[in-house]
Amino acid sequence: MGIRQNVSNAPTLYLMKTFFLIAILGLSIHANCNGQSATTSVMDFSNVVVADSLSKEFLFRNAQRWVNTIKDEKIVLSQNDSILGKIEGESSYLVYTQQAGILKKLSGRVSYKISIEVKDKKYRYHFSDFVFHYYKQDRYYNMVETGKVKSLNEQSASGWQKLWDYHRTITQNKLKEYCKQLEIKMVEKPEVPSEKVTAKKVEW
Amino acid sequence: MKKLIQIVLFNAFSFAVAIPAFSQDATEKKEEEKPKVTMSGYIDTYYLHAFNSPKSGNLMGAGQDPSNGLPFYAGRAFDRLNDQFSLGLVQTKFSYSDKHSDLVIDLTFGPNAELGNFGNQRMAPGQGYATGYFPANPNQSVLYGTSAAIKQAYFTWKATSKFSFTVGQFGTHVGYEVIDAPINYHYSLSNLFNNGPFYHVGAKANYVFSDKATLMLGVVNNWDALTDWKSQKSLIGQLYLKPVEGWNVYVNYISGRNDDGFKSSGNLAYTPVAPTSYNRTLFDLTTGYQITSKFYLGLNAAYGWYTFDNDSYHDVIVAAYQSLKPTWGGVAGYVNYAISDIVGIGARYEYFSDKNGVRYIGTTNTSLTITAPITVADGHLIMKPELRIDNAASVNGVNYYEDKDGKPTSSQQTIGMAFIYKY
Repeated sequence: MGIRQNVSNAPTLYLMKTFFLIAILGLSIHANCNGQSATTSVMDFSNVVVADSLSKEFLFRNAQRWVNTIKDEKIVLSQNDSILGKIEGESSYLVYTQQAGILKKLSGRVSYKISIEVKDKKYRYHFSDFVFHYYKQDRYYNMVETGKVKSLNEQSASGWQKLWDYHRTITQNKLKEYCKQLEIKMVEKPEVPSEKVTAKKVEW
Repeated sequence: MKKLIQIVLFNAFSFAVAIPAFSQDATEKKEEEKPKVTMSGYIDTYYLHAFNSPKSGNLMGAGQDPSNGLPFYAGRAFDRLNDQFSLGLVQTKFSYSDKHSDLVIDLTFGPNAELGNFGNQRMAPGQGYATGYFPANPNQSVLYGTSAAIKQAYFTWKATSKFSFTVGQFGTHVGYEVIDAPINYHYSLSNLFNNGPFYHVGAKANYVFSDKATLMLGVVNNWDALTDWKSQKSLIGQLYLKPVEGWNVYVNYISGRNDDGFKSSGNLAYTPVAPTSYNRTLFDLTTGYQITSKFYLGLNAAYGWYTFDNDSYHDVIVAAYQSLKPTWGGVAGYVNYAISDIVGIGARYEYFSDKNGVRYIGTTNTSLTITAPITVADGHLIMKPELRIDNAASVNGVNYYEDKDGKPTSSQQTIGMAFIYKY
């Protein structure tokens, strides 16, 4: 409500406020995402973010919007509760052995858990349990899951270390980007559809 | 004015900050819709030693020497050379895939490519046994040149998310094993594979009822031949079921009239047992279950038969095949265990019967194969040490395999190693 008033009464002030918020958040995101994964080498990305003046409902709606922006992954939500302010689920994406231009060759699938919790003026997110699912080519030349899995927290992969490191790097970069995108999206004002001005027939 | 500059500057900055997020979305969406091109392939080389040290230098059996009186010799169809480094196959495969279509161009060269195309060699009749599909008509036989390098060449049109349509030359839907060495667990191929179809030229439609059930139906020329010698086409079908996660079941079918080049006269240079007609039908069950992430069980069973017309050639057919309805078939069980990412161990036990001599082996054979694949170099190099023990029933009192003197013996044991490099 407050935001709406600010917008309508003092657009410049609102824009400046948003600008500083984004800038500060951007810096904090950078520190959080890089810090956690790079120092520990554990695939676990989380942060608690203070979002002054933003309501639980506003944050929850933006969390849902962020989830909807992830187009290239298969997301299954186990919880999407606005009362509790929780979004939980599992997502997965495919990783490739060969990715130069339009050349691609499937290597496997990485699944992970998503958890976003919101409260008034703050929220936290957690991306965890990164697991690689092995694929193989079946007798019909389709790439299918073998049922064998390996935690992405494992650093060694005998016989295929280079490819394994590549998958871990891809995952780290992807999730760092997700952290950034999520934190930007969480403070973003939803687009309000502009009212159409239509000529009304008025009795004279 | 100051305010205006502030707003312009802010908008420019916020645009710069916000754009990466939106452009990322756009990029992801584009990525999803982008056509995918894959280039893959492999080469393989093997070295085998047979403990029966066959005099001929290959593992095909004692029937190669006519003096042994055995009409059949196909004890080992692909990895057939003994005590020498032998090249298997060179494959280059291109595939293109987008939301609505798939295209596969699978080119193969080398000894196993020749054997996979055994019916299409440019050999004149009488210059080798593999001349069954050599068309007598020179306007057809002239086609048999570079065509033999095509293992598969087809496109699939994905009309809807459930219905797709494929036309071209494609690998058979029948059986557990394929020619491609990296896909099979064992290097040496089963008799069920050797005596079944390898590929077809035709069209097929696929309908996905759910992720647990799919049906394929199609029409093809015949088995393993580039051209057709008759107007009737063979019907193919496959029912795929997934009763539980990790368990796949394929029930396969093919049936046609006069669709075996070795048993038809038509436009062929090859002379069959009798210029009569027949129907041929084959049912095949292929199933596999990933019990745990490391433990896998597989099964392949097939049963096929010919039904010859009861005409004036009745006695000739019965004399050749002991029946107007000769049959063949078998069953193979597979068990694999992944010890680590590098090493696994697996066994195949197979019983195969062609006691009517209607296929290529012409006897009943049991086979045990034990393989321990070693995968290194980021999955590119697979080495397969392998032990195989074959025992065959005698045919008219004559043993099937060959000893160091070229004489018949009942069994053949081989130990060897295959090196497969895939990309």
